[in-house]
Amino acid sequence: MKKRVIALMLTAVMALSLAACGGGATTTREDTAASSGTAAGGSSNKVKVDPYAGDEVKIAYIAHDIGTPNNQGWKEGIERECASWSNIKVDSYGAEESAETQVQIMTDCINQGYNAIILQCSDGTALAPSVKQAEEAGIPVITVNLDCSSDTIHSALVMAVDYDAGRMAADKMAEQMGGSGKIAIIQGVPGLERTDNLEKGFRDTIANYSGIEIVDAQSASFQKDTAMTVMNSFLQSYPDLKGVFAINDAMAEGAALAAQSANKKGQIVIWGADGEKDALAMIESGDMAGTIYTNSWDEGSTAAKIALLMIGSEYDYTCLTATPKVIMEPIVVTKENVGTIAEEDRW
Amino acid sequence: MAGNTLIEAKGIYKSFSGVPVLQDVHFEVKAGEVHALMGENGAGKSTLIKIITGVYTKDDGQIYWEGKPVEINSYQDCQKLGVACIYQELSVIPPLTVAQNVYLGREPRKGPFIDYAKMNQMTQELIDKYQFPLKPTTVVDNLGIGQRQLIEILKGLSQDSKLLIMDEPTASLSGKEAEMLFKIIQKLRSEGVSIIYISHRLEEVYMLSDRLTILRDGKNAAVLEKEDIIPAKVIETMIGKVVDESAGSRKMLHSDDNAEVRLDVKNLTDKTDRYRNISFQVHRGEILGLGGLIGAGRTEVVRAIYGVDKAASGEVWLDGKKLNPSPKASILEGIGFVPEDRRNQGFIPLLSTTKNVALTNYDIVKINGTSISDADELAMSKRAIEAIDIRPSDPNKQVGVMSGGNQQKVVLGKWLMRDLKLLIVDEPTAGIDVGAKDEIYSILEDLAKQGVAVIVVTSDLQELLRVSHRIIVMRKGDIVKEFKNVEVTQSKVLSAGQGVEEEAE
Amino acid sequence: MKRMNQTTMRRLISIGMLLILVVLFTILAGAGKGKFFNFDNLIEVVRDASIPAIIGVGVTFIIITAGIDLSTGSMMALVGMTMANIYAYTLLPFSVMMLAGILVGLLCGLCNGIIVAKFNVPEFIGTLATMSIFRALTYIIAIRDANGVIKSQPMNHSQYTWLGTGIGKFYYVIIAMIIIVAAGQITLKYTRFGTNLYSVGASKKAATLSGIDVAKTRLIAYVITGFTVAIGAIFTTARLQSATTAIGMDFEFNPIAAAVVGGVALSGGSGDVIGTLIGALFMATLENGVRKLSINTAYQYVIKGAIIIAVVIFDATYKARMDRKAREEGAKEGLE
Repeated sequence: MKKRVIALMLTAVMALSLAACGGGATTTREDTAASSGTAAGGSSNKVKVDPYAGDEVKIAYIAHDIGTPNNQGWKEGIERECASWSNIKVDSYGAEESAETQVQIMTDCINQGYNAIILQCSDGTALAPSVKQAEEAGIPVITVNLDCSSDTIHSALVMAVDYDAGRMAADKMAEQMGGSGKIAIIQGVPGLERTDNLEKGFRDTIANYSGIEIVDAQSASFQKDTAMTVMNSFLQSYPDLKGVFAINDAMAEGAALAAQSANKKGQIVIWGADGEKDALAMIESGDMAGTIYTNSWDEGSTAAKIALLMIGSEYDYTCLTATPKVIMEPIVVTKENVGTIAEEDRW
Repeated sequence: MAGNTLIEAKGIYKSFSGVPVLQDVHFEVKAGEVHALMGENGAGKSTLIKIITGVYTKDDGQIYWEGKPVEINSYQDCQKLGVACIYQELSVIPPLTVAQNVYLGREPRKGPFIDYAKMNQMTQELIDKYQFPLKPTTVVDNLGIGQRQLIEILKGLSQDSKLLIMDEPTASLSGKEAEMLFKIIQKLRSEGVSIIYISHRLEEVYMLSDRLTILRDGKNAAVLEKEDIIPAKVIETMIGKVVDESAGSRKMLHSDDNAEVRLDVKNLTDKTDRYRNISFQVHRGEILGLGGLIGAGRTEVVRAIYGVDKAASGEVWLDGKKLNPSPKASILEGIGFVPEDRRNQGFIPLLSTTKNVALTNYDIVKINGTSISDADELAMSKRAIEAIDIRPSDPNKQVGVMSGGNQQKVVLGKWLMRDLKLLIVDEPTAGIDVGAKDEIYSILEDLAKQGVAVIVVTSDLQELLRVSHRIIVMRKGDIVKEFKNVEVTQSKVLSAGQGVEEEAE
Repeated sequence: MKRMNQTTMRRLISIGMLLILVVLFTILAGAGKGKFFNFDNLIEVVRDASIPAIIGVGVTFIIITAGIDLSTGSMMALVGMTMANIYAYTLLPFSVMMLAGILVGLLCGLCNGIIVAKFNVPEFIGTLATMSIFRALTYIIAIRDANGVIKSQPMNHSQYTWLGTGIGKFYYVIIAMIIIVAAGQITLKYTRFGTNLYSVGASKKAATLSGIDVAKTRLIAYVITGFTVAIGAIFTTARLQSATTAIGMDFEFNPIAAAVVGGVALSGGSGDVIGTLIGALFMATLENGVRKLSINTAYQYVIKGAIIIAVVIFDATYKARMDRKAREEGAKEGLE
């Protein structure tokens, strides 16, 4: 696992050197005053501290919804990474799934003078001003999975694959279904970039298989229990349903339970995404057919490592031309390879 | 004094879901007279008033105002004509001040804002004129019921109305406040304002009214001129049969101090001071009448004995055993309770007679076996129906659709199924027709003969005298008088309840 | 009257609770830069309280009439998304965009008012339904990218985002809050409409008998709430510099909680806008302060919930006691 992380760090450094052109927003509004703020260059506001030399450092982790397994995984990864240094303190905040609250917490953390902020954006566009404000105040911001809008350059983005993960899931599912049959999708809440991209990658790839048809797509708000209801209605409407793709594992688990109680265990190819512990167990038991696994602990500790690096470094966001991206390697998990994911890597 | 006709209602008909409430009623009020409206409960007084004030729409008939036909479809319509109504139920708004209440909806304004200075001043003028013990700026929250009633009256007076309708205005007033109101009524009459005065209190009607319209069973029974308003005649007309002179008087005979004491109440005192240091006993086979005005604390006392509300201190003993009153314990100890608010507290309207009877008696309903069967419930309700002659005798009929009398019989019936030691009935015949009243009285008397101790709380003086073996009268939370083995008249009980004993004697 | 007025008493208690909370957090989380008690942080608390307080003005009106509005969060989203559409697809001036937002707010309020006041649908159910409807409408008009995926619409033109800033630390949203709360309090206490709100809440029957148009009064309260929601939506989107479908998710309980903590009884007929403001400040202080204590997030929610329950229980008990006392004393005075 260590090796992989180092490889990822390298990707990040490479990204730093790349001069990407900032993709402009497509609004028709002209604003002469607004664009002056970014990348002014020159002196950094950063307070010079070195966490590795024993200086007191505090890091804030601000989650969209602290309660989900993903967030718990990231949180634990961050805490583990920092646990060996007594001078580094980590505080975690939950934004109660609201961008407004998250913006308030951001302002609060900037006021409190955190040395770095690890952020899972509730809404990339809405958080962009806060991220910019933090960076301007000399606080590096590392976003996790959910990025803030692309023209707001910040210290780093650590993310699981989205579009490509959707493609990978689609190909493997198609293979398992023998290239034909009906598929339904269980969606999360609309408007979240990563999950929307995941779905898009999935749909784009399924379109290549002429025998497979996506018959329905319903939202279950990322919730396991809601997914059970949605799955039940799918089973009623499409008795010949062959596959279900859920945007996250919790919903896939719900769908699998619904299939189980309808005596259709194993007959429907059910896929999730994320790779949480329970989902892996369900793949082992045959309730689910597969998932896209990302190691959330690694993702969290990677974010923490970058944060510590940035805190101690001479550089800040003004040196960047684009936000460096660290992309976590996704693993397609099915019954065949689920055993290769060791117990200590299951979050 | 009495001038031209101010308002006249001719041929008024009204029925509710097919049941006629008013039939061909004629009602006329002249300018500057106090016109009393009387009738037993359910005679149609309130309905008639609500038609005049636009709350109900009449089925047929015509109302004339100063000789011209008018349509009154809302309370606003009647306000426009110059009619103000002081309702029996308080309609003051507690979070507002006295002045805000008096001018509610008619506040004087300066630009878009309420002119509080002017409003308070106008209210103060009214208060001064009628000498009420109120201040314009007091928040009603902080006032007692009597004062709230005065605000209601002030509100009516503030409208410079030609006709003022007062529905039981003295119900929650103290003696002194009532006196004040009588003076105001006389003053208004001298100013040419007409007043429709609805009251159960005969004395007030005799004293105040110029004329009296009596309704009986939704029809005109009589219109009496001042000189014809004499108690016997009024009661006779109201009840519809001749009553002998002694009906208002009765000697308390049956009370026997040597009989075994069943209920012993010692120093019962309320948490919120609605009654204090209440001590009395009820003997085996005795019917104790609890008299006094509404709000004297009678209902609160019996509720505390039964255990619905807890008293702050004091003891309740039944057959020599000290009780810790709670409804469940009371039921098990053999205490029955027929509450005042029959419809909300006495039975479940949507359930059948069978279910209502079974509800209080699930501990004894089963005949054999462990589970309760429908047959057991039915058997019990049939016994109840038979015991007290509930009509219709269909045990599956919803109690909610029955007549008041039969509803009350169901409530009584469910207690009769138990082995009672004490039965408490609060206003047992309110809203019940005369025939059913007698039946209920005889049920109570039968129970007493079987050795049950009975407490009857009633505001109906006639009823109090009719059923009680002994009477105690409460006033403002205290027991003020006991009538035992003496000659009692309605006026004596009334006087005791109103605290004007000496004057009456 | 020797005894203190019940309303004044409750006000002092709210202020006392707020002060105790501030003192408590100052002790636990410290004073000075980066801690709890310093100007920067306290002004942030006021800023966080502003949106619930602004919308709380309308909601207070409704609660005083013994009603409730569960749709304010969704309404915010719909107003925000309407403005986002104008922002994205037209070149209309920002003033027109904001007016359109306000118009949508008023229409939503009118809609609630008609459902609740004219058709007599119980408030809880009626506004629960419109809560879903407004949110669904927001999804329908949501801005999508070329692939049809809903996206967050940036609204970062400086001629609009200035609303999210302030004169130094005196944010415009705080100034707007002060104006709206003051206007709300004056309306409540010094106009017929305000008196009517109390009457309707205390007793619909009594209000009708006093010639007050109960339905109209309730309807206007909902329309005013629509207006305050629109103002709240404008300041929220200006601060976020964007609009999404998720704006105001689960927000509806914030103004209600602020009102309840501030002494507006859910049973209607009592409380005022200043109380709601204090309640909003209390809630914002609570959130901000608990965050400073560096305790597990799960416990943060527990503490927040427990304090709200404690306040409500206290309020209910206290009110019952005071009412009883008032009646007793009133009754005694009546005897003199």
